[in-house]
Amino acid sequence: MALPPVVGLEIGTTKTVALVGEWREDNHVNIIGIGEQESAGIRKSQIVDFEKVCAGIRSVLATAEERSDVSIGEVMLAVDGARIRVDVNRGMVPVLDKSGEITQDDIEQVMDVASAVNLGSDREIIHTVNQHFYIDDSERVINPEGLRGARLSLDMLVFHGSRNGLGDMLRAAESRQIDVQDMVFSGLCSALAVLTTEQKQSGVVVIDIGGGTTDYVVYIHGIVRTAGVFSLGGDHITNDIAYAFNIPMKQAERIKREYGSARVNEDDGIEKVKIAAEVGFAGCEINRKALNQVINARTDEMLRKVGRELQREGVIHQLGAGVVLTGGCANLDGLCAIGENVYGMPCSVGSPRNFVGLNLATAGPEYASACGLVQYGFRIAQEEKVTSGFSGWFKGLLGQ
Amino acid sequence: MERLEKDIGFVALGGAGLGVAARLQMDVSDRVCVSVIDTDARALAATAVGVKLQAGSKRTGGQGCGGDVGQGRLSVEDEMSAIRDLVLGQRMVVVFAGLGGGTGSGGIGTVLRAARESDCFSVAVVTMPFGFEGAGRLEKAAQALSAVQETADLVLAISSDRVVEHIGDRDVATTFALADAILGESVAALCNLFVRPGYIKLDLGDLRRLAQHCGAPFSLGFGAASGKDRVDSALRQLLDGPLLNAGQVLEQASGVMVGILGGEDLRLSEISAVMSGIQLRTKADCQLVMGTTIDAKADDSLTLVLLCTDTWDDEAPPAPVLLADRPKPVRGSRNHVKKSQLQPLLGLDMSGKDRFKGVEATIIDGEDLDIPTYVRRGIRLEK
Repeated sequence: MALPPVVGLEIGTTKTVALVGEWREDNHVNIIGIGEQESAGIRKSQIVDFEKVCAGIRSVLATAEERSDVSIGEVMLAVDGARIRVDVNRGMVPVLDKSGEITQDDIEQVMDVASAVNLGSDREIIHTVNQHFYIDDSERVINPEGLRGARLSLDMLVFHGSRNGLGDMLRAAESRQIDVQDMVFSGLCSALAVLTTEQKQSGVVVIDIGGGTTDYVVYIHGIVRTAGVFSLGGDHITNDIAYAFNIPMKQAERIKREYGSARVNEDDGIEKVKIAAEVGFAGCEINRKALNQVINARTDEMLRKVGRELQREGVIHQLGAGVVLTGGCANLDGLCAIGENVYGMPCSVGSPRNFVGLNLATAGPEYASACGLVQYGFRIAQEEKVTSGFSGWFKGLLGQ
Repeated sequence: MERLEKDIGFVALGGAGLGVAARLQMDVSDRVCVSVIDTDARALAATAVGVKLQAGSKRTGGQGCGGDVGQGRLSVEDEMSAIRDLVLGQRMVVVFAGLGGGTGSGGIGTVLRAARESDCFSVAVVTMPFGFEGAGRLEKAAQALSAVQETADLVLAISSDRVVEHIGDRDVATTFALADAILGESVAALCNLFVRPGYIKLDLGDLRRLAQHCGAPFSLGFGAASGKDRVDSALRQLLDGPLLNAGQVLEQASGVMVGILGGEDLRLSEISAVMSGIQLRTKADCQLVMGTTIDAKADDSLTLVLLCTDTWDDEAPPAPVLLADRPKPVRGSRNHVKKSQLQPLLGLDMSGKDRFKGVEATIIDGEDLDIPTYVRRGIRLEK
């Protein structure tokens, strides 16, 4: 039986995207429909105008339905925002079987215990990802089933966010009579879409710089080691430009995309960028070097903030595969060069892997999270099919 | 890094800072924690200051940053966590740098930011370059100074030319040694005022009040003498010396702070003579605060330190609102935020965060990241 199509919905600060994907036997996802539109009513991944957001969602879902010829009943929802945090929680259970053999029941039980985190009443768990199992507190294993021991422990990475913020997103998505199957942290989706198994093994950080937020996810020895969110993004770059040259946000956004670079070249000084006049704006010329100075300062700072977090977590020296940049800002010229300067390790732009179909969707790093979201949806569907239910360590592996 | 629990932190940056720190350490109370930060490993190794922090060893290989402000800033930023440890828990942090070079001009902002994050009163003492160093260096220093004024609670700006004029025409080595001595002693005197008992006490509140009212950088006056005529001689140096432009700066001043440091033989009549001497030269409505420090080691000598500024704003600005403490809009009640809560935010409208009004500010480590980075880093755009 073929898997039913999966719909991923991402409500970003810059754009709202719905992707409809079909699973192909060669482990590729075929994107059969896409609905996309500029977001309105969102700042830094927080909803500031509920009605506008709902209208945007309705419209992208309608477009996606029309293009893919699939009637959308449920979606996977990518969530993002400043209030998302991750914590590692360890759970431990005694092994029930007298012979000490670890069974599926033990694994389920330890996962229950590990995911029972005591969060404040204003927090809600988004999802969890397994890190390592420990048998009798010593051996690290990925799948303990069938092994023997007296105690089974598990380190679990728990993603949680503000109850109100997540609730708002959920309500907005469900405003069009659809069900939200699952919520996934969008940084994790980006990582899923662009990374290879080898990269995850040798240690890598995916930094997704979107319009409103910057997410990062760190893999070491094949597991998700840590993750986080900053409320910094492309909008900050645009705002800095608008402020520096006293031009409207719209023009600032345009020159950022067309002429902006994170690198400052000395030769840029002579070049001028013309901004055409339009209603309510007289038009002007700005110095290209100054433009790049503004962008350089902001991007350098954003990457440094992430770098400091990586340093605090003690992972910065374990990233053998370097840094992968995704999100809309990864398209910015010179960002990799700045990243290499800041981190002293190779940086590359990550685009979704194993996708076919609409060229638009498979092309750029700005679609990494939406594509990863669809992939995540298929993994859940596959595991449900294999295990005929939703159980065991499979669910914990989804993020990996 | 090891740091003793002390009241005042003194952090000196760059080449100019090393000399002053070494000198200051001799005069200052042991309740002041003296530390130096430099990118030049060899210069750092040669000084005898308690706490040393080598910045940017990865970037510059310990060879200094060659006057490159950007390198200086990045190098010092790299050491942010160590700097935070340095200032943590201090009541006041005095940061010294010679502006116009790389490490000092670039790094001072980072140290001040660390001080602000840990909620201590910050005083920036900076020297401006010599006229003969050229317009480029002066320009660099002026830019750095305006950035410093944004972050520090109180700024004391000293012209190198005037310090040298004060010393007189000597050979180079003596001149620099004496310049370090004047700067070191004045800053040491300032610090001592707050940590040593002195009968007429000056506390941090006085300084805070002075700083709140006065927007512009302060000027420094200095006079030291010993022996019988010490009052006259020290006063003459202070009032007629070049540091205050032969008293002209003082005559314009609207806010003045005087510190008198003497030995156990300091008499009240001498204090009174000093103060009346100063008051003769100030405006009638000048705001004047004073304090004394008695140090047994300083018997027979008298040191006068004066800070003054010519702007005095009667309407004190609202008490500084710490970024981290600013009221956060309550989720879901955006439209009902009380007016009084919004008030402190209004001052920031000029700071270029239009787009992010109405959503929670992005504040990381006490820094409001919604304000454009180039503004906070003091980068001059080549428009």
